[in-house]
Amino acid sequence: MFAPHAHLSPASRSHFTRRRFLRDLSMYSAAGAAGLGLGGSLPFGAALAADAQGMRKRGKAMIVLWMAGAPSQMETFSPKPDHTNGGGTETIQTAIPGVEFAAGWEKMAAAAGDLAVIRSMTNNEGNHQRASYQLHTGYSPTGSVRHPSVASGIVQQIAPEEFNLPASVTIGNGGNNLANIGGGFLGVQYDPLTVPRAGQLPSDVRPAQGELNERRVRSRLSLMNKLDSSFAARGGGRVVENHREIYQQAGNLMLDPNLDVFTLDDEPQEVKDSYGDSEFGRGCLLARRLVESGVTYVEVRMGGWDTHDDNFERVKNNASQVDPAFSTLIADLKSRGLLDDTLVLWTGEFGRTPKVNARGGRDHFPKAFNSVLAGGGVRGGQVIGSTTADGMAVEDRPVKVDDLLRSCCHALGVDADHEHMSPLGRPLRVVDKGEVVQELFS
Amino acid sequence: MRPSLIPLGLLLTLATPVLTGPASAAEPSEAGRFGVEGAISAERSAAAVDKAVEAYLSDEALSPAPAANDDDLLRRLTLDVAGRLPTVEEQIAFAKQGGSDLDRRAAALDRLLQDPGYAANWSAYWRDVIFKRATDQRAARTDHVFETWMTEQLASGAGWDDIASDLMTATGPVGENGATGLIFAQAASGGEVAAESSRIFLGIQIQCAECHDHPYDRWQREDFHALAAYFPRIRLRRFDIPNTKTPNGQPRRSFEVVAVDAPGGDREQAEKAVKRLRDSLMRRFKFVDANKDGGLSVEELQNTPAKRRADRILQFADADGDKKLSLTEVRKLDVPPGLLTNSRAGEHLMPDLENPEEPGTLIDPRFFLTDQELKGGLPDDRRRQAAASLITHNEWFAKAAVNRVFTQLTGEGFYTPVDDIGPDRSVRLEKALIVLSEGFEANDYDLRWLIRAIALTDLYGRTIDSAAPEFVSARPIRLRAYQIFNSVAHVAGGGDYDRGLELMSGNGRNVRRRPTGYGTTPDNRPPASRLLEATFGYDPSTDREDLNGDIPQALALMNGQLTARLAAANGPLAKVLYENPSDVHAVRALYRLILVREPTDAEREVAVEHVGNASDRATGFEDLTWALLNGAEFLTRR
Repeated sequence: MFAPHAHLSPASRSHFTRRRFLRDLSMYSAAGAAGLGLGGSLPFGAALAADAQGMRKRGKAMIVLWMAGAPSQMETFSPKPDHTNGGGTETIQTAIPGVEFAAGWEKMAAAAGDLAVIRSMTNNEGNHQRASYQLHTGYSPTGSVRHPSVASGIVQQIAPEEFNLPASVTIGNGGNNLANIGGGFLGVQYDPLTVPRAGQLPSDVRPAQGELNERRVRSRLSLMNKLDSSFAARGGGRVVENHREIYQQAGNLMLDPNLDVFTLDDEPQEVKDSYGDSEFGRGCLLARRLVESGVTYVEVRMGGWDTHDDNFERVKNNASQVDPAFSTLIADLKSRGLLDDTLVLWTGEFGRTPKVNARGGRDHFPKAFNSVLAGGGVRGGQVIGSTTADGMAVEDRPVKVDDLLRSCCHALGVDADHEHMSPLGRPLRVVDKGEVVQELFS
Repeated sequence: MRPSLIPLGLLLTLATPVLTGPASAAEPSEAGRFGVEGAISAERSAAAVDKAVEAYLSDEALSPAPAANDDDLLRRLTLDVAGRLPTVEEQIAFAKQGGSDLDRRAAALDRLLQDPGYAANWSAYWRDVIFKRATDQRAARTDHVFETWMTEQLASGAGWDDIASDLMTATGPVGENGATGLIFAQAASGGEVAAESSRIFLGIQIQCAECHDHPYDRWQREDFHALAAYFPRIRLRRFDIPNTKTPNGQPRRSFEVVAVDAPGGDREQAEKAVKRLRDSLMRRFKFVDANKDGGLSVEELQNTPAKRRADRILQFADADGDKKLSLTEVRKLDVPPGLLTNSRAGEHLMPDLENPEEPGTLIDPRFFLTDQELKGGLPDDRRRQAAASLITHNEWFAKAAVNRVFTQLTGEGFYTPVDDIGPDRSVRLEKALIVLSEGFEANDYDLRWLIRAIALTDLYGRTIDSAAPEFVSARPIRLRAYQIFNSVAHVAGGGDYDRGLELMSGNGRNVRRRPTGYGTTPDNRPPASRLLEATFGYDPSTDREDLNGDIPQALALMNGQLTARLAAANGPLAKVLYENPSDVHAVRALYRLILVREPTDAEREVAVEHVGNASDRATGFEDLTWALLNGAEFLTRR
């Protein structure tokens, strides 16, 4: 696909920016000679639609269920029924003998045979924005460099080449804390396509006014390309070349028959029902559809976890949405034969204080929190690590953020040590440090 | 069309007194060196740059590209200086202007540098330099406060040294004082503010040395931390805005940048912390008293904010000496405020990489470029003033600004990337850099002078070539979001920019005059401009070659509301078609409106043919308008 280290020499980096750009285009696909309005005659995406399944079989994918605001570990997957810190939260038995989840997670408890629950996540960062950035990029934020998300590193390495849909899609809105997360210095072409509400098409893929008339779109693009040729001849050569690449991809996306994947219309009602009638449920259903169509990285975001007050009611309400959606997602991927190649990660930016505060809430607590993995070769039916009886500290098998991210790369066959050269000529690994959590895969 | 020499002449007359500043009026002084006072004219510096470029090209056996034509040059100047397209009147005036090519360019420059667009355009540029690297995303809610402040600075001709000093030494509410923008964008974190000050004002990326000695530079870890030691006492403090209410009845909250100088930290905050502790222990007494013996022991205090100093708090507050705090004792709790704060606050500590849990080593302020030191223990204002003075009086201060503005105007830098310069970086055309830096300094860091000097060079005025060797030609440069918005307004107004602006803001209806974000400063930017910024904005420190747009931008232009309105037959196109019954004339008028030039013969033929083949004239011209708005040229400074 490309020579990974070709652009690493700082001395020559300015000469490689363009080459890097052209190479990076491959993540969206360059679609070859069947170019939009460039004289090609093949129907758009026809070949691709036929091949989506085949392509998916070759590739791995990842779905992140991002719990923005930081979910309480005590009311989810690490209840402490025998301690005052448990806050009186009731527990239920899971499919893993001797392991309990908090009440409200009945469907996930039943699905626990497919889950690896890490109860010993630990970190130092208790600020939403900084921790969200760290969980997404593997680095702490700094003004001097905008780190690419780990998702960028993943799609750069494993996204299919010949593909019209974007390699990376974000569903839902996790708020301002995630605003500066994307391609970073790798470039905007690694930013995810954002779908604010599952079930709707991405912005502007259809004309604002009037029906999409494919013939007219082609005719306009063809006119634009002819006129641009004249600008190319007047000194704008590279600008026009890059512009055409982008427009070709945008046009391919616009006219791709697979765009229907973004609407959930053709999905049977009982499937929709099983994901639950919620934004997050529809987001998970869309995530499954996208992965099935060959998208490499999907993040479904859900807010409402920053429960400084009224923690117990609010988490219960969140659980009523996440429990059916998450469990159905796993079952659905499994029944379609996609689970082995699709890694699902459920996590927030940190955990919440074991001590309940005066407002019945729990505050920020990065020292011990939960992440849950499923699929992608992860061995289900296990719990990794533990915390002390009061939940105040990790007792066994601490897992750091880098360890988690590195394990995700491992599951996807992504080289976490691959170095991206920052604009300052400083090589930065996809994931800086950490070790793969071997138990996940054994 | 209306004759337009009168308003232009008027403009020039009005502008003349302002132009007799140090830049253009003073006699050219002897070749300046750093530190030599006295004005150096922009013309003289431009000529010296030309000479350096010429020598470089002849060494490389290259010949310069020809000069750009009038249309291209005027569009370039107007976009670069005022951030918009030239109006029809300006185009006619420029065509009719007499004198040598350089005189005509100088006259246009002088007029544009006094245009309100100059301050607004460059304010938007510096806003992006700072806010596109924000580590605190809340700062985005005050970027209009910064923009308003920066526009005032630039319009009044404030020197870059004064502007930079203000940004580094600002205090006050973030919603009122735009100069707090840089500090708020970095969440008032001393290390980040130091790093960004060095990057933006000196062009030196000292923060690479934060965690390890710099791999390609001379800087050591201590160098970074000694710079951070000028900024350890800045804090963001939250406050309620008086007389405001959110929908749920609470006062609106904001932040202010404050100095923390009291021994042991911020006394006011510490006193509040004591009160908070007292209130919280009283309220939660029963809960904290786990063994229900009516008193809080040191162990029980471990689960409260008092845990770090539980022993000492007990010493102060345990009146009856039973090693427990009764509810009465809690009610009377009064401890020295310093107890609850970190006594090391106020000085910078360099973390111990081997033992990150340890507080680290105390480091006193020292400026890495000159090794000048400041003793520890000084108050915040002394520290930050010292840093601002050291930074703005250093030779790299002028060089960093010159490198930035030169890169922005010519697409070519003395150093690349634009914010990674310094003594260990390889430099191109150093003579030209030095000439401009000396002139910039001698003219009191006047940014108008700098733009004028660069825009008067031969290199600036050449035809573009995206692939030519360096310094042979001008470069095509992608427009910034601010310039794209104004270009759209120009088209919407049928070439009348002011009319277009009115239309874009719904004749004023769409402007949100209510105060937004964290204060009372209204955000007067039309919603359309903010939307465009969100889709088309980019970090201006990015290399030119990496700015190629993206798919959401292409989709927005292809299918978005704006294009739909501009390309509709009942939009600005209606007038063009009405006034030009001949297709050839209408094609020429559309080219003039959207791309500010005549179509070439080939372009005209392609366009006329397309219109001829369309189902009807309006449809054909809608397509042409769409194609011109979507084409690469519309988004490019040529």
